[in-house]
Amino acid sequence: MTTGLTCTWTTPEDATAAVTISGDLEFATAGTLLRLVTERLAGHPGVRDVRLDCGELGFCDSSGLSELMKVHRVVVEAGARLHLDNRQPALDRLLLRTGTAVYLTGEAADTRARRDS
Amino acid sequence: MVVDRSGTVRALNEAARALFPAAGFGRPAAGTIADWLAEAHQRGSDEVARGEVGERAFAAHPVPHGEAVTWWLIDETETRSAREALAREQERTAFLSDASAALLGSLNLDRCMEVAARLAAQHLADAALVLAPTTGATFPAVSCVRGGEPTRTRLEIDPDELPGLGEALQGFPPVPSRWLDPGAAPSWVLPEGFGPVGSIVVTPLPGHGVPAGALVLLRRGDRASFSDSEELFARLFAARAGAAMSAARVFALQASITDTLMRELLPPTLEQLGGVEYAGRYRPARDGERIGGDFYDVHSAITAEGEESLAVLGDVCGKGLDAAVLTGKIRTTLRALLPMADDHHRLLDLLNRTLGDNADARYVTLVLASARREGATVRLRVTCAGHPPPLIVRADGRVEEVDSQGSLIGVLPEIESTTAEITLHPGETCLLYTDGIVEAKGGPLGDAMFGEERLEQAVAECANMPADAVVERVQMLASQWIGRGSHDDMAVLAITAPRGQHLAAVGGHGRGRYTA
Repeated sequence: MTTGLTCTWTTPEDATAAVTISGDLEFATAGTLLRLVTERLAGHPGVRDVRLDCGELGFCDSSGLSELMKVHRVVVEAGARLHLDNRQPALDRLLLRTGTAVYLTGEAADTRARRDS
Repeated sequence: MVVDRSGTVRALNEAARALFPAAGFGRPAAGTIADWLAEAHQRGSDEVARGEVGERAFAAHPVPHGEAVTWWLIDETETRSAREALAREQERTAFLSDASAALLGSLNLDRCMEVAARLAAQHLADAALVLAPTTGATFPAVSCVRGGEPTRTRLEIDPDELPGLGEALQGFPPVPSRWLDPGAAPSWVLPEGFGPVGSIVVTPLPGHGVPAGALVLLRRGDRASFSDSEELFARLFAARAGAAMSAARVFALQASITDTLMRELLPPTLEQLGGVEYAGRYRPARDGERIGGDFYDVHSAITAEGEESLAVLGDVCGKGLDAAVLTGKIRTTLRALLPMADDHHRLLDLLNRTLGDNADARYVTLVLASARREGATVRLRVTCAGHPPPLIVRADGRVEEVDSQGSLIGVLPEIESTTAEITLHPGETCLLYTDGIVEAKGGPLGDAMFGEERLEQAVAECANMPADAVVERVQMLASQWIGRGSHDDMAVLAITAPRGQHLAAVGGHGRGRYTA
């Protein structure tokens, strides 16, 4: 189960970045995703949407959630929007339990996301 | 120089003649040249012979040819003294390296001083006195006589009685060791029964920015006084001893700071409060650290109405001291917000604003549970803020999840929360836990999570148990599950409606009356 974490950044379109997350987001792997997104965003100022593909995301604990929030902050500060695609039930449950789904994904809550920043 | 088999000198060159003025052609070698060379020739040695002629050292190389041997003498006075110096230096380096290892073997200041005194007495002098700086009236000191055991004392002295000692103890930069008149040394410098002192050297022990102390070396009257190189060597030793002692001091200081912090951050011992049983258990992520990111507290009622107490269990994301410090902040804030405990949402909202705006997206998830005893039952109001919902164990073994949900605290601009109301009957328990329990990895293959199902199963067996037994059992099962694996912080808190106790007068057996 402890498979580590691999994150890959691609830009299929100029304004869209796709990041696939494969592995566990937890205390031991903290920082990997945030570093990748921060570095790449700096090199692609035109990106308006960052889509995290969570289909291969295994386990996400509280440190993992904290990492997603930091990524969200970085993405919003760069003037882009964060999307969490292909969410597995476990991740959905975590987002629901912690009341962070709307905040993180901005789905149906654009007004709110704007108010945060 | 050529000497034949009978020991007669056959030839001498200029240099040999100068070296052995008595030797000459046709004369016997014995008695006219150096004895060690004559003996080597007598033995018929074909190896290099070494010896002294006057103040100089020579190596004699034999070259046999027929009836005679030619001895080539090579002056190696310089080489020899270099070799001796090298050996001495190697010995000192080895000693210093051993000394460093011995000194750094302990981070205890007393132990460190003992080692320094013993090493100094054995290798540098006949006796040594190590003094540490003090904030009080007496100086911690260790003295040691060569071959003896170090003795620890506290000296009530004026260090200025021994010139240089006062400055050394105040941490002035290392000054050259001072030569002192042994007669002027105060009596407290001398170990008991040491006899007349020949020489004394005071060397400061330089520390890391803080004075580490001073080293006093003593030699008996009949021994040679300290040479320049010995004094230099003593200073090299002092540098190492000082570094070790100051590391030990800094460590002791940090340990005491950590201890003080820990006392404040440790989870409290819980007991019955207002007719409600409470019990908690806590196991930090890193064994050996007693504090971490999980916490719990039970506050007695401070609102005017009724006897409602407030239990809080929470989990700060992260581990170790960083998490513990935030935990302390949250616990203090919650204590201040206690008057708002009748409205959980308002309390959480205020906490959220207090913690908000932290740069590193640190958040806390927690459960608030207000409990009030009503007759034999306990009325609960429970609110989850981004936290796994507590479990209720009914008296018949059914397990329910508390129906409450809310946002985590500390990151979001606005929070939401719903509060659930629950009634606990005697023997029923509400169990609050952190995700360290359900996310504990272990099991037969070491990679499965303890999980909610296993937790529910474990809790189901805890119906009608006292609160303390419930938390003990849950913590024990999770610990067994983990085995030697790693885990996050784990905390559990049980709120239990007490079962009535048998009245002592009824004897405690059979059906009796219960006290409420």
